[in-house]
Amino acid sequence: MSGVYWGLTALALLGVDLHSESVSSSILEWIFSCFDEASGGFAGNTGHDPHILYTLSALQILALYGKLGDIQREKVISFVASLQQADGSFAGDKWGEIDTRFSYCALSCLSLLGALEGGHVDKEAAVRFIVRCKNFDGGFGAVPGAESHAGQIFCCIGALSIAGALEEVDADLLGWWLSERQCDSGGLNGRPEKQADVCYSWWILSSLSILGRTEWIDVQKLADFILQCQDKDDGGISDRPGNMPDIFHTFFGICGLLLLRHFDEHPLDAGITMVDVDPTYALPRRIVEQLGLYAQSFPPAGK
Amino acid sequence: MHNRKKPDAPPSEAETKALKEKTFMYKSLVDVVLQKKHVKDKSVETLTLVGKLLKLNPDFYSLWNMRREILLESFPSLATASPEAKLDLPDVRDVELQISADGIRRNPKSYGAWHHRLWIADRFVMDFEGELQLCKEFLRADQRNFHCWNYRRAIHQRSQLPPLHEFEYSTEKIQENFSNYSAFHHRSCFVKESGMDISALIEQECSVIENAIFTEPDDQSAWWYQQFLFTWLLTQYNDLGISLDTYVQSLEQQLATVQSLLEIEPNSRWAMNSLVFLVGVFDRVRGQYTSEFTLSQVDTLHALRKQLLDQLCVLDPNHKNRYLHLIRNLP
Repeated sequence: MSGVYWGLTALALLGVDLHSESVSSSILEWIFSCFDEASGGFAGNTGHDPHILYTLSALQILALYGKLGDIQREKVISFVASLQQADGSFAGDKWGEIDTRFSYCALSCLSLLGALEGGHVDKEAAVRFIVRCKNFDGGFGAVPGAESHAGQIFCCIGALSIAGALEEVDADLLGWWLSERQCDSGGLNGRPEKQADVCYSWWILSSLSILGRTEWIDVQKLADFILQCQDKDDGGISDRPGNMPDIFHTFFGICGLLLLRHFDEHPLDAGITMVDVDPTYALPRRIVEQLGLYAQSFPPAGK
Repeated sequence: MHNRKKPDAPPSEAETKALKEKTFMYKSLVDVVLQKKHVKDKSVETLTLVGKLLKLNPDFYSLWNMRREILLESFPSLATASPEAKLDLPDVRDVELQISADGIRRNPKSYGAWHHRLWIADRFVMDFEGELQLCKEFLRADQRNFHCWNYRRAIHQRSQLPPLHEFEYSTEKIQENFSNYSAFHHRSCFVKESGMDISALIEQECSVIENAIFTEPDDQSAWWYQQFLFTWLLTQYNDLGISLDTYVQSLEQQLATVQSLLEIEPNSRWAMNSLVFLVGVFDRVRGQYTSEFTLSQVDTLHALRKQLLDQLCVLDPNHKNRYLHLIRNLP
């Protein structure tokens, strides 16, 4: 389900009209085949178990198609709500794995369904748990006490953005830590002393974007790194130059270039008009606007 | 998906054939298992097949669920097991832990494999020391594996083992490699449990930092730990039983240490960033400090900070906009 979300959203950002694709009706049929009536969640594939990760991906794809109205809204809301724990955290499914990734998924699902207010979940408790996952370096981990990691940071910043609780973030400190993820290659790593990877162009750039501090890295060097990761044979993007491309890194590479405003200076030929991506929801901005989704962000810190 | 080199040449006919066969075998096994899932076949045979498939793909999350479903069916008391009421079934436990370990060896970052382990740990009587040994083994293979570090901390929470062990383990890992941010992070979680006299602790931690920053001034980890230490001490000095005077003395010593590093490494941007940070801490303390700093002391530090920020704009142009932001926001 997540793979389909990465692929379709990448196409949407490339300006492709998804409705015109003949495969669209089968995709929608397949999505609903992944819906578990008993729990109200979506699975990763037909015959698999419901999980909050794939519930979000399913809702995101349906948002792309303008088909959010077709789901059993109350059931999905109750699935998400059932996963919140006493401490405000969210489990991924009934088996109880706790992770701030799921906090993000939960709040994003509810926001997409227009159900963030209305007492379905305890928003304040959700925020409190995320704050407990904040570390000395301003970053966030998967659970309280876990090391700061750019992926988890995106999830926490995204969740706080949706909840309108960004004041819990030390933006200068986290901005510093995130800006130090830029390596000599120009690419970004996810933690100190790790290798650069294109997907961090999304996790970090979106976080910096929400915090108004995108300019704290060298944007040109990052754009160059992402472009170096594009495979000249098949056009996909890989995690780092010379590696195998895949849909995940292709999607996040495109998102990274969009947040860097790369296509403003370097428009694509062949009549492709890129579509802006929303840093909180990882969906085309116009979809977020159409749905009236709320996302808090800080204005650019200025130069 | 990560870290897979693109081969120089497309796969040979033999390679393609082998991959097709492997894929067919895998897909056939998946079809069998999913069919058993669909008809709710919770037999031992299914459990075995699920174990076999997990060996091939520990990231197939529904398979871990199937294992748990079958266990719950076989052991109804498992449904009410909890950390307070555990099952003492070492044979059953060990099978699950083995499958989890196999999954972790196959993919050390498998969320499913690690979570299954924790699920077992919360319901079965465990050998916690054994689990920590396993973590040691896995961290030897990848000292930055956060799944393992998280699991280690989770086991520590559930065991009665003294926090000092964790503090000492962080020392062991840091001595192996100063660039181990994960070990420094772990240390930050347990430093309050060192059991040491606070003055001795401060001296020790400053010495750890000094060692690291003089040996590898370009590695970030110790610099971030320095930031942790002085922020933590500032917020906790009262509770820790040290006076503000003592804290300020440590701060001044640290400033002096970093300045001496800068003398031998004049282009160390981390040393410069550290001094900027430490002067900021100094400013935060000033409001609380009972004695008076002479105006010239304050002016000297502020001038130093401004000079360093100007230098950093030139030395570290990647981060220029952050430095300009800091300059704009100087008191």
